[in-house]
Amino acid sequence: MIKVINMNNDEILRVENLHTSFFTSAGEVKALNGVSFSLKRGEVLGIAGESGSGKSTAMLSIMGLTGEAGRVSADKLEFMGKTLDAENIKSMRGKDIAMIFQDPMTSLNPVLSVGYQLKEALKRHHWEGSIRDRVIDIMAKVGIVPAEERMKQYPHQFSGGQRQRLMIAMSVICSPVLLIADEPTTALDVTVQAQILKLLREIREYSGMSMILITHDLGVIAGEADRVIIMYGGEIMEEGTVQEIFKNPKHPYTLGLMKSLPKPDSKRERLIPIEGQPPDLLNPPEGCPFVKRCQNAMKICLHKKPEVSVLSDTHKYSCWLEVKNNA
Amino acid sequence: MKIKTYILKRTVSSIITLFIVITITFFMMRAIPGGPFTDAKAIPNFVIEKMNERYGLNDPLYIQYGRYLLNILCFDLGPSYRYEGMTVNELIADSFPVSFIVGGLALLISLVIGIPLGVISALRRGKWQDKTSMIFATLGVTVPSFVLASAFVYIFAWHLGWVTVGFWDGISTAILPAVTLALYPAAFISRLVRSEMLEVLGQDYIRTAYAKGLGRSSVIYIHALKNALIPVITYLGPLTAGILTGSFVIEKVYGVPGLGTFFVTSINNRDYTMIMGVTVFYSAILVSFNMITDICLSFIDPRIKLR
Amino acid sequence: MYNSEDFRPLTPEERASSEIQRPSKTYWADVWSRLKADKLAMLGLFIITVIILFAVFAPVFSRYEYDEMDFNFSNDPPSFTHWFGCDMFGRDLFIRVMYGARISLAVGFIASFISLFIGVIYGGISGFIGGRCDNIMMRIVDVIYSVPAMIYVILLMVVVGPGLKSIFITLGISYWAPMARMVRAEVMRLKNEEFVIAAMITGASPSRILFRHIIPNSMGAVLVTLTFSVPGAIFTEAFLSFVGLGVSAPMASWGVLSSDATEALAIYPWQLFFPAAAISITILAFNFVGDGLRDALDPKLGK
Repeated sequence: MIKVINMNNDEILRVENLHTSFFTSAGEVKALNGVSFSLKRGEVLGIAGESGSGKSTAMLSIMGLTGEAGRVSADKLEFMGKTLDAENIKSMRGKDIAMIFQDPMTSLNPVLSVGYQLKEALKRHHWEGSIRDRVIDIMAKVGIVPAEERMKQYPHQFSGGQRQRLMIAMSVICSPVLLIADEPTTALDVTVQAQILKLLREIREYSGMSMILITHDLGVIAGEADRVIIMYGGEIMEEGTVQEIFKNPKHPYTLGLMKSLPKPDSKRERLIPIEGQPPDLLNPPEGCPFVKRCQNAMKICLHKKPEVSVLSDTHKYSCWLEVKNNA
Repeated sequence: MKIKTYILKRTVSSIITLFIVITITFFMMRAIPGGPFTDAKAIPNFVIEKMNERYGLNDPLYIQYGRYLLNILCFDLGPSYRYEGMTVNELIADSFPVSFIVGGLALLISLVIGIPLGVISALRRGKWQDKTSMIFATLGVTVPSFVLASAFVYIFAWHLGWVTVGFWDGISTAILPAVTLALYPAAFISRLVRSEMLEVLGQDYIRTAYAKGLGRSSVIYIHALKNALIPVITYLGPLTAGILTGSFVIEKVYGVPGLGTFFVTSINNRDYTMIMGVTVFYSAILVSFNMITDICLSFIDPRIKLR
Repeated sequence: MYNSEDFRPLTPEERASSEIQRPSKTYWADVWSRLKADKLAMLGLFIITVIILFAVFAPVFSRYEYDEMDFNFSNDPPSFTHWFGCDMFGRDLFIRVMYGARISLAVGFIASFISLFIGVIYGGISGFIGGRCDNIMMRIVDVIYSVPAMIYVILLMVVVGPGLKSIFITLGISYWAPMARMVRAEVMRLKNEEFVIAAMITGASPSRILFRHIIPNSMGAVLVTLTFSVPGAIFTEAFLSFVGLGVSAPMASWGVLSSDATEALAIYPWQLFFPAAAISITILAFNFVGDGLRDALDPKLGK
C-alpha cells in the first residue's frame, strides 16, 4: 500500500527542552528531562519506549493534562505559532489538538449516553451547523451504525473495539489539526487493532491531520509512522525516519528493542530481552538514563548526559559511543 | 425489562421477605418464657387467665400464628397488650406522622449538608475547607446520638432557652431533633461523597472530558458528580433504617411523641403485639424504600439492569 | 577534550553501585510501614492501647470499688479524691468509667469477633461455591438487610433477656451480614486469580483452597471492616443501654453510665461528660486506625 504523505515543511508543533515533574508524597518524580521534537502538517510521528519512559507524560504535558501534581516547563512549546500556555491550550484542546487514550473500556463516561458525549465537544467549541447531523455523520464514518439509534445508548452497550471507534469519533469530531493517539490499540484484540489502525489511516488521508502515535509496539510504528522517536527514562534516545531507525539503529537501547522484536524471516533466532529495570525517576541518574542496562556502558555514561550526535537532517541520537568513536 | 413487570416482581419478593420477617418475629416473641402478663406481679391469676383468653393466647400456637397472618393481610396488627382499648394500628397512626416529619426532615438535612461538604472537600483536597469538613465528619460519626441529643437539650433548651423540649408543636419542635438525627448520616455521607469524588476524578473518562476541552465546572458537575452520587443513592436504604432506629432515642430525649418513643416504651413494658407491629411496620417501610431506591438507581446508572 | 579514562568500560563494581538497592518487603511489612507513616492512625492505636491498659489496670490500683456506695459523696463534682466526681449513690465515677471500659471494649471485641467468624465462613462459602447455593445464601442476607439491624437486636434482646452475655450473642449474630457480603465479594474476586487456579491444579481440597489460599488474601479488607465494627458494637451497646436493654446494675458500661447521667443532666452535667467522652474518644481512635489501615492497604487511594 502506498501511503499518501503530505511532506511540505509546514511545521505545526515545536517542543524544546520540555521538563515535567510530578510532586508526590515520596518526592519529586522527574518524568521528563529535556525533551525536544517537532512535527509537520500531515506527518505521523511514532513515539516508542517501554512503560515509564515518559512518552505519555510528554503528550499530557502538551495537552496541559498533567493534573495538579504536575509541573511543566519548556523553552518552547508552540502549536500553530501559538505558545501552548494554560490559557491557549484550554481553547485548543478538543478542537485543534485532540487525544485518544489506551483503554477504551474506561475512557468513556459510563453514565452519559455516547450521543451526549459526542455532542459535548461540538457544543464547547461552538460548532457551526447542525450538531446532530455532525454526530450522526461522524458515527457513520467510524462504522457505528445505525447512528440515530446507537447514539442513545451507553458505553457498556458497546464492545471494546466499538468504544475505541467512539473515542476516535469523539476526538476527530471537531476536525483537529493534530491527533495524539496514546497506545490506541494496546488494550484491544489483534484483529481489532488492525481495524482501528486502518480507521485512523483513513481519517488521516481524508482530513490531512497530523498524528502522534504512542506505542511500545515497534511493528505498529513501522507500519504507520513517518518518523520515530525512541524514548527512555524521560529522555529522547534516538530520533529518525522509519527507514533510518529500522535499517540503521544506532543507540544501544534502540538496538535492544530491535532484538527483542520477533522477525518473520528469522524463526530460529532467540529473542533477546533487555535485562534490568528502568531508572527510578525519583532519583534520576546524573548521566545517561540507560547506563544501568547498557552492555557498552562506560565511565563517562555514569556522570554526564551524552551529547547529541547528528547523522543526517533527520537522524540523531544521544550516546557517548558515537563521541568515543569519533574521538 | 419493563418497569411495571419489575415493580410487580419486586413487590412479590418484598411480600415474601415480609412474610419471613413476620414469621420469625412471631415465633421469637412466643419463645419468651412466660406469657405477656406473667411479669406483672400484682395481677391475680384468674385475671391473667381471663386476659390470656381474651387475647386468644390459650389457643394452640399454629392457630395464633394463622390468625396473626390473616389479620396482617387485612393490615390489622392486633390490640396493644398494655394500652388498654388501643390497637397497634391506632398507636402507629397516631404517632408515626410525628416520626415521619422528624425523620423526613433529618433525611433532607443529612443530604443537603453531606453532599456539598463531600464535594467541596474532594475538590479542595488538603486545603482548609477539606480539613474543616473532615473534622466535622469525623466528629459526627464518633459522638453517640443520645449524647449529642442530651448535650443539645442542655445547651439550647436549658442554658440558652432558644427552644423548648418535651412537647410537640409541629415543624418548629421537629427541627432540633431532626438536626441531631441528621448529624451522623450527614457526616457519613460527606465522607462517602468525598472518597467517591476523589476516586471518580482519577478515572480515565474525566481525563477524556478534559481532553475534549471542557471546563473544570462542566467536568465536575456533569461528568464527575453523577458518578460520585451513585453510592449515595445505594446508601439511602441503610440511611433510612438508621434514621428510623435512631429516632428511638432521639424522640425519647426530646420528648417527641413519635413511634420511636412508643416503641421504647413498649419494649420496657413487654408489650409484645406493639413490638411485633412496629417491627413489621418498619420492615415494610424499609422494604418499599429499598425498592424505590433501586428503581431510582437504574435510572441514574444505565449499567444497572432491573432484574 | 575527553581522556581515555572517560571511555573505559564500567567495572562490575561501578555497575552494581549505580543500581539503587531498594529493600524488598513483604506485603504486610509494607502495609505496616505505610500505616506507621500515618500520624492519625498511630495516634488512634496509641489511644486504644492506653484505654485498654487503663481498663485492665486502673481498677486494680484504685482505692474505690465500682459498686462501693457512699451517700456522703452523692452527686459530688469532680475533685482530687473523685477525679470524675460521683454518681447519685456516691459511687466513684472514675472507677466506674474504667470498669465501663472493660465492658464496652469486651462487647466491642467479642461481638465483632463473633460476627467476623460467622461472616467469614458464611460469605466465604457463599462466594466460593457460587451458583444456586450462593443465590439462596445471599437471598437470606437480603432478608436480614430488610429489617433494620437495630430492631433485630432489640427483638433478640427482649427474647434473650438483658445482660452482658446476651449482648455478646445478640450483637454477634446480628451484625455478620455486612461482613458476609464483603467476604463474599472478596472471594468472588480472588477465586479466579492465578494462585487459586494453581492451587486447584496441584489438587488442593476446596476447603483448603478457601481457608488457606483465598481467605488469608482477603484479610486486609476483613481487618478494615473489623476496625469499623468494633466501635459499631460499642455504639450499639450504648444505644441498647439507653433504651433499657443494657447490662444490669451494679455493672455499668459506658452506655449505661451515659444513660443514667441524662436523667440528672440539668444539674450534674459532668456525669454525662466523662462516659460520653470515653465513648467518643474510643470510637474516634478506632476510626483513625480504620481509615489509616484502609489507606495503607490500598495505597492508590491514599495521599
